[in-house]
Amino acid sequence: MKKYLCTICGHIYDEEAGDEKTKIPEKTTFESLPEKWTCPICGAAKFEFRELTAPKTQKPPKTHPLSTAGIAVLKDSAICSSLAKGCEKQYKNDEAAIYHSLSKELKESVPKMEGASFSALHQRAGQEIASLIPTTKRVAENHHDRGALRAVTWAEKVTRIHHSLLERHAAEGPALLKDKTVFLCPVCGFIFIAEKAPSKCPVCSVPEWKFEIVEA
Amino acid sequence: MKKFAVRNLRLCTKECLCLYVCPTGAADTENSIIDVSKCTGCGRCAEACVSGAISLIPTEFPPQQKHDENVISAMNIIVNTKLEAEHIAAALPDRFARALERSNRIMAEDLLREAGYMLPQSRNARKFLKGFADKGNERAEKLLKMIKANE
Repeated sequence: MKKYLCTICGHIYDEEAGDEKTKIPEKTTFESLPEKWTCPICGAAKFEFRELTAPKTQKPPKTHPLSTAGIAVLKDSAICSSLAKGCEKQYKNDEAAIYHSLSKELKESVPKMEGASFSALHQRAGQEIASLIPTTKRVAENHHDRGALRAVTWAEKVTRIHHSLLERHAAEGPALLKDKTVFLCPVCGFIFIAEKAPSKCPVCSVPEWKFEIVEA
Repeated sequence: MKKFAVRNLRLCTKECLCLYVCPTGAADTENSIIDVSKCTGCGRCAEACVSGAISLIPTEFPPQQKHDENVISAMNIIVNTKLEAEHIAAALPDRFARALERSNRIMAEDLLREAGYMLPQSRNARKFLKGFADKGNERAEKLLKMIKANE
């Protein structure tokens, strides 16, 4: 069984798994998908997909997990950077600047991780897609919390993109970035590696000009 | 409710009707940013603008939407895992790692907003700042003074 990559948004169609959203049963070959089938994430046509070569399997090295205290500090940092954006939307630029400085300071106070690896990120993204995110989605659905459901749905799609890019990164290495620009949607976090930004974000639908170019 | 007008420079096509209708001259500035100190929030500029480039920003907001405790704790589990991923990516080289680092932060922020930190004016945001202010953080204290509570 093979895997196919959507060259528009990075979604991977796995023949083994089929696709729940478009009601494609397990073990359906890409060839046998209906011609009108489109990417469940961005709606791209079938011909936009290309076959994915299997990545070299390698065991991810052990990383030291972040301490509970470390996570709490990063969470404070993220609350600050989030509220900074909240201030920006209300044109409270001075308040936003103070929140940003607090956020930065908190983030920098957490010591850098040793033994970090792309494969650890790949593995984590896989676990999130398989269990953590669907569980949270169900909780939001059960409480009819559309706002929370919206945020988790975007996070799910973006995490799938991470997973797919990390899978390609494992297979292709730095060639993944060769002659390409790394675009980031500052609204939902969608990452797009290509020559040109998409005309709109396939996850949150903001227009092309919203995309930011990520430098090293 | 008190409001003030802002001009979106990406949409403004300089038809300049706002200049004709503004009773205080707030819309006529050398840098195209509406002068908040002159703006009375009457909204005439927004009504007259043919490009839809002017909107009125309220100065007071209703209390943010409530979320069930179970939803909040479930959301926080993903927030934590996103922040751990950000932390791993932060220690890796190249543009791809930078994008992953920032992307995980963006998701964490978005999830946090839906888990009780939507509005800077909210009780939660103030409680959060108060925790820092109580430990002598001057910037947190300053923010508490600058941002009015709405609940």
